[in-house]
Amino acid sequence: MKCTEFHDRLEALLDGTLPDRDRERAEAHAAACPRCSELHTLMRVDLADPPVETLDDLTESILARTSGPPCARAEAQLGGHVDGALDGLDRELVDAHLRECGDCSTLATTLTRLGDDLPAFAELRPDAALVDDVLARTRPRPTWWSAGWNRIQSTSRHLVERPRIAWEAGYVAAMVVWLVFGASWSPLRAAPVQALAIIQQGASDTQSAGASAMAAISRRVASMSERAIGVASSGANNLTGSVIAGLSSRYQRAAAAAPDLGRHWRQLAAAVLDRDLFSGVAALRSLSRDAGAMLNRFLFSPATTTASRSLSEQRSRP
Amino acid sequence: MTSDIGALVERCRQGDGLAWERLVRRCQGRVYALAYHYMGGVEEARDLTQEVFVRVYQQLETYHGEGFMAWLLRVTRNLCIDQIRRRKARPPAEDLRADDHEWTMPDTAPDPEQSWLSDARKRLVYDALGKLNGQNREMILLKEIQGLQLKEIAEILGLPVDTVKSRSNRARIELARQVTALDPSYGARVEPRRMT
Repeated sequence: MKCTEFHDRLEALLDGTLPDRDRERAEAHAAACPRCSELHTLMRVDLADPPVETLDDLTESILARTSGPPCARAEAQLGGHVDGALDGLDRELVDAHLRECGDCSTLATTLTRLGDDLPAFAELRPDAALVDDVLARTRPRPTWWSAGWNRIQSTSRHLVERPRIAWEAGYVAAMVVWLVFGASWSPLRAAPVQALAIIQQGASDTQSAGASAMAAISRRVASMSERAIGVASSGANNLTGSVIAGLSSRYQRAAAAAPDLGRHWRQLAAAVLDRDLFSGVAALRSLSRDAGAMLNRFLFSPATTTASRSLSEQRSRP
Repeated sequence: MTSDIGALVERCRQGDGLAWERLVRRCQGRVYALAYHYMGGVEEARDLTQEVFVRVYQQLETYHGEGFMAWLLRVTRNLCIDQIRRRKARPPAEDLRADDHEWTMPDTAPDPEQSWLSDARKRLVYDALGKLNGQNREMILLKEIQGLQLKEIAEILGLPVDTVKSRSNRARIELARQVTALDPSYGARVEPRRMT
């Protein structure tokens, strides 16, 4: 048997399927040919017991030199694989890769777990008032103008709720005051001065009216005294009579000092009824002048001084 | 309790106040959650939820589409984006706070220890969400959390469906990596699902 014939029958010799006659011839050739004997030995050992580690390394080496690592392709399919969207050969290929690749198998398991966990984040419980707020803003169904009004309200509320609204309001108010009362072209420019004068006049008139009222009370008291004395003490002495008479005459003189008193009272009453502020103020001023003149005449007239002196002289006598 | 949303919407369009209240109560949780994810604050989310429902109420007459929930979430998302742009601040929910709320996930754990594990797991996932970039986080929010379909997300974002699909897958992988980085035992706590 030649070497070429031995090579052709070597695989069958190792499998044990070679006929007896050919097997005897092949073994005889191997015993005579050192190279064929060595080949026969190598083939019999390697094919019978190949180491697994060597096969794994071999696969990785082959893939590295050909298509590259398959994990990238597997990752692209993992989503569909976990979702059950792969079928047929694709699913079989990914399954086969997952059995061999620990990293991708862990990744697939994590994806499966995430698919169970992530939907839990789909809903959150807001506070119970949220529904009421939504319903308050959406019921009744807004027309176009109410929708616009709601928008204006919302915008206004947002504007007012800003912290700097107080500064802005103060600025706007100051600008409005200046424009109304401070600008040179404003018709109300003199209004503050006039208002201040009216207030001051009012205070003065009120004071005068008070004095007038006191004078009227004094007159009333004097009149009552005069009548009481006249009725109850007809025989009063001349000094008392002269004092009373003096008071009476001074009252009459005081009243004569304000001949327009009655007319001013009527003007004041008419102004009050007409709600005419300026006329009322003018009437009060006139009344205050009348009252002042009357008081001055009543208290400080020479007759009063003389009567008082005579009264004190008579009291000092034994 | 299980009234159809489409029927509720139709009654609302006819001016039925009770139907509107039912619709608000039924949908407010999802709107509020999505707003909270985007805005990252309780008060902002609450105000924005009100605005969403007011906007929806005003636009019910013009709504003729299908998929009310998708439309509602799209309005929510658009208002959130407008609000974020208006205040020129951070991208959606960079400061996610898991402790602010009681999540509505039903807790069927039989004992306190498992309940605690459930809360810790939620916190872990939430922390991992906070580590994603804006694009991936939005994909997770819309697809995985709110459960929208790829087509609906594509309409919301104005992107092709294939783009949304690839982005969604990338976002899930990224989230899984983040979760695993935070807690390598996350995927090992349960029996891996059989792939065959």
